[in-house]
Amino acid sequence: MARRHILFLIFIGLFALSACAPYTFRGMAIEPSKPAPDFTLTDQSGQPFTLSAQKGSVVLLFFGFTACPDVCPTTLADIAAAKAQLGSTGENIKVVLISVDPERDTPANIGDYVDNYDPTFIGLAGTAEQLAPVWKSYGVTANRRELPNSKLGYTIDHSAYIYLIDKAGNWRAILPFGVSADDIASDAGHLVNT
Amino acid sequence: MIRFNRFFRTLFLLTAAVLALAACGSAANPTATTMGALTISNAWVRAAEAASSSGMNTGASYMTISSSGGADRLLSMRTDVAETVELHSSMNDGGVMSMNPVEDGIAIPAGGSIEMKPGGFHVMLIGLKKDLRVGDTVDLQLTFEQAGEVAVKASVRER
Repeated sequence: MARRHILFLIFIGLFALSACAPYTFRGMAIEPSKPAPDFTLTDQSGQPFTLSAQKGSVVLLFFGFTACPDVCPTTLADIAAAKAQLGSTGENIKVVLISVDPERDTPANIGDYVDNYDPTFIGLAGTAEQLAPVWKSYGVTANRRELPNSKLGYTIDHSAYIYLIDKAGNWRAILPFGVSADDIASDAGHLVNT
Repeated sequence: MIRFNRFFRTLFLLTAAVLALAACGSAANPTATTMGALTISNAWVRAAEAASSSGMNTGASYMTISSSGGADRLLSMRTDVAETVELHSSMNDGGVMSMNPVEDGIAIPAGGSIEMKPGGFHVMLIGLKKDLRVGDTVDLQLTFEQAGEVAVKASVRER
């Protein structure tokens, strides 16, 4: 019995120590962190969405387009799974999809698109003039390329990172395409709890 | 003490049995389709709504195709749930994702396999005719250069 007690105490001790160690992001940390570039775009209900007005919530930004069948759905489904995995912690996370396809995306169809994954997800569309400065400020590549052999007509080659913004509005990390839902949950959960 | 142990052993066995059952139930697509040397397994379609607002209404399907014999080539696919079906490939170029139609089909190596998966080879469904809901089954018709027509059932999943 005594031995069991000692093992238990060691376990508790290790657990306490691990809580002190600085968190290591699963994605790529932005060091030093910097204020996330601010913007205002229109959401799916026609209301203005201003990033700097979201302080107090963790924000996950992703750039994509509604005709995107593989990369964007994969990322949005994994973010939705991560948010669900976090339970009540996940309620403090705002997930925002910003269009890279001003010609085809509208507030209505980007709203339908994000609603496939989670009804709380926010979809932002706009004109090229409204969107391009946002892409630029986050270093996002968004290049239209014609696809003459596809019914799609054209595609948008685009940066597929998830941008993590903490509750103070600081840009803290980026997650590359293909990270697991566990990694997203870990990094986003850390930002909610600190 | 003995009784205590027996209780835990029973609990452990029960838990193991429940887990084993759960694993059965959650297997995405326990049945594989075989046609000659080809085996098509784990075919799934991502859940999507045929949105009412204007848009492309796209979807995607993934599967693993293996050949125990000679090489073959997946040339095309069709389904009743989408107006157009195309074979595409996504590529990651330094964090920038791009996507292209596969021009000459997808080669299945002799004695080998190809895995269609997110971020790689995928089936693009354009113009969804109906909502694809988790738990639904979608019928796909695959056309191979050697094996000819193969019918596959794909389960609808979130991811």
